[in-house]
Amino acid sequence: MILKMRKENQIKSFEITSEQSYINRRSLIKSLGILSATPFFSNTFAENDTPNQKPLDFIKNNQYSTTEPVNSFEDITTYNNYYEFGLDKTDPIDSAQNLSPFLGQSQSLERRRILETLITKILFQPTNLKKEFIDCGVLKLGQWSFLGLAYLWWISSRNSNQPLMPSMLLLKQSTGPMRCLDKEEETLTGPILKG
Amino acid sequence: MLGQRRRNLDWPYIEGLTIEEATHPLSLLAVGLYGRELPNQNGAPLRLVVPWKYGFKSIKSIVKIHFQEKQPPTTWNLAAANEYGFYANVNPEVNHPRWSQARERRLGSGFFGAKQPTLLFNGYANAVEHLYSDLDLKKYF
Repeated sequence: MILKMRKENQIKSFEITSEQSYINRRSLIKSLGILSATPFFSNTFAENDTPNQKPLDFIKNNQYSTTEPVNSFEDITTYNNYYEFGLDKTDPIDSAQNLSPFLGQSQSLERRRILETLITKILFQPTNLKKEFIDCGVLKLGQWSFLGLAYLWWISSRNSNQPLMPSMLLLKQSTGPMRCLDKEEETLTGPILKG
Repeated sequence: MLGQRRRNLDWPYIEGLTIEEATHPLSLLAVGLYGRELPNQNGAPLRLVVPWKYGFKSIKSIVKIHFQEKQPPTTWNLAAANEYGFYANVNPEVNHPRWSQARERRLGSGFFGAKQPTLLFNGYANAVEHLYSDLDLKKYF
């Protein structure tokens, strides 16, 4: 067993460094010039100095303005938390470049629209064709379903974060027994399912 | 999204405010930043900004808004209720269990920048303290 005894002349750490100096220890280190090479790295994000974003029309509400100094555009757009993009504060700027929220959403909405149209067409065909359409449609979808459907759903939910659409649920429910092999050509003549 | 492949939080991210907080003129639904469209990394196309609360309350890239009578479960509160309260008002006197909240280093001051005292309600006390006149800020942190 190790017994730690305090000797008579042992000095406590707070007796050496004042609390204020401890709190501001980093600026103290800087002032000592130990890391004077730091400015060398300061232009890492120079390409973001000119923002790509479109200017907006707006009226400034001076009632909620401030006299505090404003952060640089670079600082607030390159160092922030956004865990959907990753845990580090520089992850958002790194990952977000590959994502267009507007385009991404419209693409996924487009995919979703196509899928919904497809399903609606299947479900609202004249009654005599309906069953075949459901069976065949689902079968046809079923052939590339698992991965394909999962992919479509993943794509459509990835950007918009919206839940599974009701018609998808309908589709899932209607994937019961599928018997439609030789009828496929005569029933599935719509352009949608040919794709 | 990339970061959601990790199950570090219970996705999707959910946040909530009381109606009084949400209708306060300082609660902003932002579409832009510094006069320009919101960049992706800052929560495009639509994000919340609640300047007197810790940043995690200001949910980004909003896809859905519910109005409900009960206090909603919120993401960080579900992840660690003893560390992240529902209210999450900036308060130098309520420490995070793992670190002090009494001082802060301002963004842009650099790694070596001096720390400054954190202000109650992030400096917006005059504007928002009436919202919490009946609330024990230490209990409901």
